[in-house]
Amino acid sequence: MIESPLTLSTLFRIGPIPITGPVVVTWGLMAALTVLGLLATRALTLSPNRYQTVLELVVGAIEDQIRATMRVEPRPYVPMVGTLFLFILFANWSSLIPGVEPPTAHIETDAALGVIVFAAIIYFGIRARGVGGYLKTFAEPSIVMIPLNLVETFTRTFSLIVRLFGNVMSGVFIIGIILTLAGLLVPIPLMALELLVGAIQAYIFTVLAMVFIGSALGERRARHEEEGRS
Amino acid sequence: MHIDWWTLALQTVNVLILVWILGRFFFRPIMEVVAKRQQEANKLLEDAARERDEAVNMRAEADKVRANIAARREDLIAAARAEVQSEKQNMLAQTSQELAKLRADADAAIVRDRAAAEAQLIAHAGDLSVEIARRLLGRVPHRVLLRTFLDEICAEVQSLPAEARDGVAAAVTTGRQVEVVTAAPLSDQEMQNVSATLEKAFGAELPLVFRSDPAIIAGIEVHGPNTIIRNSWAADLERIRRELKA
Repeated sequence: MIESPLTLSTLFRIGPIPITGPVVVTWGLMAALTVLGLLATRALTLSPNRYQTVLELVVGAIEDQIRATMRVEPRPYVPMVGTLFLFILFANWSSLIPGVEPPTAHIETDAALGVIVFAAIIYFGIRARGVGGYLKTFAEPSIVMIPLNLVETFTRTFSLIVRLFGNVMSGVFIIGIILTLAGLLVPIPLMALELLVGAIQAYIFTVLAMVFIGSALGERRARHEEEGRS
Repeated sequence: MHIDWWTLALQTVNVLILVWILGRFFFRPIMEVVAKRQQEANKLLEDAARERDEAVNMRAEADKVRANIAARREDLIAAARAEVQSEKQNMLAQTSQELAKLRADADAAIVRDRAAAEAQLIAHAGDLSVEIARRLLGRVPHRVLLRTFLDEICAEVQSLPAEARDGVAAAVTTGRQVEVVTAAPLSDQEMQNVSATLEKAFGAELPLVFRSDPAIIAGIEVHGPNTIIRNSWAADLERIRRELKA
């Protein structure tokens, strides 16, 4: 990697739409995840084998994380949260494939994820509390806090975007520089570290998304769903 | 830093599509199978709890039935014992009654047999005595015996009331006969002697007829129209027998 990760080059165009590298890699990830998902769930039974047990363990862990973080019944939020985690994780780890640049190393992909989380916060907040109830959350704990809450709504999403972008982009950037300066095998420890960073960043992004969505649901909603679950 | 808005829009759409795809074909099937297994497990647990409750109820019912059986068994044993006791008392009473009746019957039979034996003994003794007397009398001369019994019957005639003696004596006038019975036939001399002695005793002439009857053993009897005068051993033995029976 010799060019800046902050720049995007158009690979081809579909009509007026320029198709860049992150989009193509994302399509590949989508195809791989879809195929893996279909293969994994094609023979689910009530008596699980070893692989099904692992899958159920993963989904169960996501559910437990949602339940612990958002304190709600996790089922409606599993597709959203689980897909964010898996996509970011596999996107971060796609840097292991030679010649593939992770989509999350580009601000557009991270911004797209941030926009989705931002929309999800509003959608789930309005669905749980209504438009009025959701807007009232900006006046909590007092009406004086409205400007700060409005700013926080955008800044926390922006911090989400920048955190993911900075960590992944910096990892890719450093590895590219070291690869340019040193030999072939020198970046391997850094790549292993990048794997860990990628997993951690996927986890952090997903947990923060859950926290933001959970805060939009409010205490009343959370308590209600907690009683309903019990 | 430049942001490619087309890429941002495409990535947004891509992630949303991926959310839908994974939600539809990955997360939902796994969650459904887990939920279904949970339902099955809950159903199994509920079935197990229900069957456990049913088993507990059945055991309670069985315990109750067993208690009833035990109580009924005790009642039956008590009733059987009472019935056996009652039957035993009845059998004892019945046996006692039968024993008393048998004893009474035996006593009566003994008394009856003893009386019959005594009567038989007396009769046998009488026959034996008659036979002994007959054999002994066979050694005494007939005329001595006749003389003795004739004297005794004359004395008896003398001791009769006058009406009875006259009744016999009046047989001549009434045309009836006076029968003289002896054990052995008399000779003519003896008949004349007896006739003379009796007519003297009665003080009148008598129409006498003689007849022999070995049943009187020894002696002489006079059978008048209304009066019978016996002086025979058969009459004596009969009198003695009646006295012994009395």
